[in-house]
Amino acid sequence: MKRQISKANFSLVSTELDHYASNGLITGEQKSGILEIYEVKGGLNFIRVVVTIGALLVGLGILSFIASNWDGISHLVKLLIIFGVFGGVNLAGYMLSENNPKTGRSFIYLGTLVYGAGIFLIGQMYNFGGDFPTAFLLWSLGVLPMAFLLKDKYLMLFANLLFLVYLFGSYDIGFPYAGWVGVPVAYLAYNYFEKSRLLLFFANLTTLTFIFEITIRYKVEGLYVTLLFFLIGLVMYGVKHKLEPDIFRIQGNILFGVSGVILTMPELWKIVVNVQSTRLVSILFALAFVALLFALIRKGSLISLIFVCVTIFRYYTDTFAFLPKSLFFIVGGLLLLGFGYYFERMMKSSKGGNLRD
Amino acid sequence: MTKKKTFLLAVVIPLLILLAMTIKPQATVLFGQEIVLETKAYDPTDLFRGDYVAINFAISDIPKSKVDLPITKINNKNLYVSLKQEGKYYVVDQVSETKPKQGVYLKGKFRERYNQFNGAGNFRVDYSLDKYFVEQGSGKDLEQESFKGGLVGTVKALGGYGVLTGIAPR
Repeated sequence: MKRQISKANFSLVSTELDHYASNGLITGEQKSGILEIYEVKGGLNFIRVVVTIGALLVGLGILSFIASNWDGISHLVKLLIIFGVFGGVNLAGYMLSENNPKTGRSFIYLGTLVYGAGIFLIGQMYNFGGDFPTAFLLWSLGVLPMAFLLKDKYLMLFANLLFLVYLFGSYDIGFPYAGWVGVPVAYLAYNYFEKSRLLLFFANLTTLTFIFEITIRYKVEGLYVTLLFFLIGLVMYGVKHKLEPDIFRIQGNILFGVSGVILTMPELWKIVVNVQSTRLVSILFALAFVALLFALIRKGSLISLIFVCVTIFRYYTDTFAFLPKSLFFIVGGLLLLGFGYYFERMMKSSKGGNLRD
Repeated sequence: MTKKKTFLLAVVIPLLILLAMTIKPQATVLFGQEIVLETKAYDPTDLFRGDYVAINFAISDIPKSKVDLPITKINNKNLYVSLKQEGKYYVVDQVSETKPKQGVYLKGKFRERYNQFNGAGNFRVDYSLDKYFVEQGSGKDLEQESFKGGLVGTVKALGGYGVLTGIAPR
């Protein structure tokens, strides 16, 4: 079996091989021999994109038609139309799957949107009150069977996104008990759908959201919630394992970055120290946090660089007392410049001037 | 199971979910007792269900004196509110933890609400009857009517579950 690589990587390999061949490092025969072992991975397919967007437009049109609540047709007739269209597009999707699989699949996608429109139509018919997060749970639930049957990771992704909307929508309304089932299902799906990294990313996101909802349910103080997510982020970033470490590192880095910036707000700390010292505690935390970020930047974490900038910007907009701020920023900046210069000299002397640039 | 059958199953499951959603409200519309309630309204929009009239029933505010249960058993709990007819409208009679044996009642979620003027406060009850969906653009008239002198809402109630079936000027 040929080695599958992305189109961009293939073109990199091929230009580099051209370069070797023109320099006489390898022969033209060797070059084509090497290129033979690669195969461009199926990326975005134009037809698939066109038909999928087509299905998306029709689906959004139907959702919008339901939301317009047009009086010309009664609710019952609308419901029958929804049932008919849902059955029709799925039948069409099934029939087309043999000869026109891409168009067929887009009909199945359309079906999931029509199903969603049906849920909101029923909500409208009976004037369901409240914010109706259950709608997204039911929508997600209805998409799952087809996603698993067709092993379609994009349908699964859609189901997962709908579930996330349900989790977020339940905030402040009531505890989303379905999370106890939904979170395991998201990981089961990752395992079942050929270990798609995309699905793992969203499964992790679902878990984090659910943990957040649990902390809301038990009325955990803001400080502890943020500290918890800061720690989870550090663990996701730092603990070494075999399961898609890249995904965990990126998510962990963003998570502890965001919660770290939030923890630099003095107001959060008032539940553990008295009001006068909150500012001091938050600044001590900010210094430790920025030091940690610098250590990670040294290891090559670009995301940490972004959070250093966010933290600086957060302090820049914090106060309008310009004179103390000006002093703080100039002293801080000079310290960093000095450290940088010192380290550059130290590395140069230890490596005997090996660092040319 | 053949491929055809499993596909059929994946299509039928969403349809069954849709049908199941209609059972409770449709049964309530068919067999529930009709009650008329006083209300106020204004007109916002929901992204997926369209324009609606937001409704605030008089029975959603219950004074603390009407409830003789310890506060821990009220706040954020689902309780039964028995209603009695006074003139044309139904008003709150009493609140209980268990399903009343007779009469009209609705189930609602209670939230404590302080009154900063006299410290007494009341309970805000969410019956999930706060939205009435209308054709796009037609909610403004109802909003105007509401400013002029209030609206009345018709609710069908069955076993504590209520379905809002209509609103009209007083």
